[in-house]
Amino acid sequence: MSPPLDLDSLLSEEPPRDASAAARVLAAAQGELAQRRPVRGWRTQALWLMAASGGLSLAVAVVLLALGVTSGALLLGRAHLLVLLLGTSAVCAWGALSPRGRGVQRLGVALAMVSAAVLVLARGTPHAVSTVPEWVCTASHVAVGAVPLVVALLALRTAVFQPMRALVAGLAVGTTGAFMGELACERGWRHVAGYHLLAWGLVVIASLAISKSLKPRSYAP
Amino acid sequence: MGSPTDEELMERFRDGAQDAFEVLFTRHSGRVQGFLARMVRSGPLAEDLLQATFLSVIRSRGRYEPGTRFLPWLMTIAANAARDALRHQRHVDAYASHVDTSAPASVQPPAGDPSMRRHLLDALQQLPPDQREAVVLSKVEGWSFEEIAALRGISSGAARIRAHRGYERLRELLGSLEEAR
Repeated sequence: MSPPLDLDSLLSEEPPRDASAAARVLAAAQGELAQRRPVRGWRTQALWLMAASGGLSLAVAVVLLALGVTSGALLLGRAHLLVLLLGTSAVCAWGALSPRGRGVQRLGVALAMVSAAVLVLARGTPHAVSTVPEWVCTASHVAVGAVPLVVALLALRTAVFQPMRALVAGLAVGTTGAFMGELACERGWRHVAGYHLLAWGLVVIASLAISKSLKPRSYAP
Repeated sequence: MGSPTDEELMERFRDGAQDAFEVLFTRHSGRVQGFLARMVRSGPLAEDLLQATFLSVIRSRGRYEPGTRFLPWLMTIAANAARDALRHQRHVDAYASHVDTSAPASVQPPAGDPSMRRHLLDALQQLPPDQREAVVLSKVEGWSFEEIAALRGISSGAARIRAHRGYERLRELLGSLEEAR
């Protein structure tokens, strides 16, 4: 009769080591090190994402002011919304790239939901009738998010794919379009709810889908 | 003066000292190899994942936070790499199952090699990846259920259940093997 199975000690037995495999891996690692790629901290990446999203939003504001599409009075009148969007973008960018950012990620999602609600509720009745089709807002908001989306995807590839992280990065990127909508669009709350928030949602979906499909450069948390 | 800790070496590596990486590799590659062998069984795949793990350490050294314990951080990377490979393998297997659905339901009795360790590795492959990971991390690597829970974003109760179910299933699989001997 064989002795009873001691599963714990069996589990703790080391499988045979493959020294040649380890040597090959070390050689590959030395090859990677020899390329001397710059080391970027996650904080730097988060700042890049904030700069891409927030910076583009501010650049859009300057261009719209210069073109006369928006006015200084409108800008001041909606300053609280713009600050809320910039803050949401910053919190979401930080949460998306922080290695231990679960709390900040949740805060980012909550802030984005508050921002979305405030954007709709703060919009009164339309001041003027627009001749531009409504979908133009959605398309332009998605398009203006392209650059920060690329920055976000490159940064996300430096860590293992996590849906929450990609979602929060998408929320950060989507604020750029929402910001533009506050400056360039005078339509009512139904339009904001239907077309502006749709664009924000599409950017989030794009961030999730593309990020999931890309092979990560690293499996680090 | 004693040898530097893993954390000191990792911080030196972050600051550009490549020799610190080689010391870390020498210290821990065997342990990571053992973990991956238990997780994926296949030698070539385990080697690919070992490489992915240490390349991740190099590429993501900017994500290492001073004060973080190095070994759990390293094993988290290895676990993430294994999970990704197993997910991919599941897709391949699902595709292959259209052709052949005769996957074994239990460990086959030993044919040529009587080594129980080999059968343990085979039996581990029969567990769902989540349970396998929980068993290996808790029973072999000594992780707490809280640590496993933090790794996978689940509750510690769920981590405990995964490990317990996996362990019991493993016992059943190897028990049936014992009876067959």
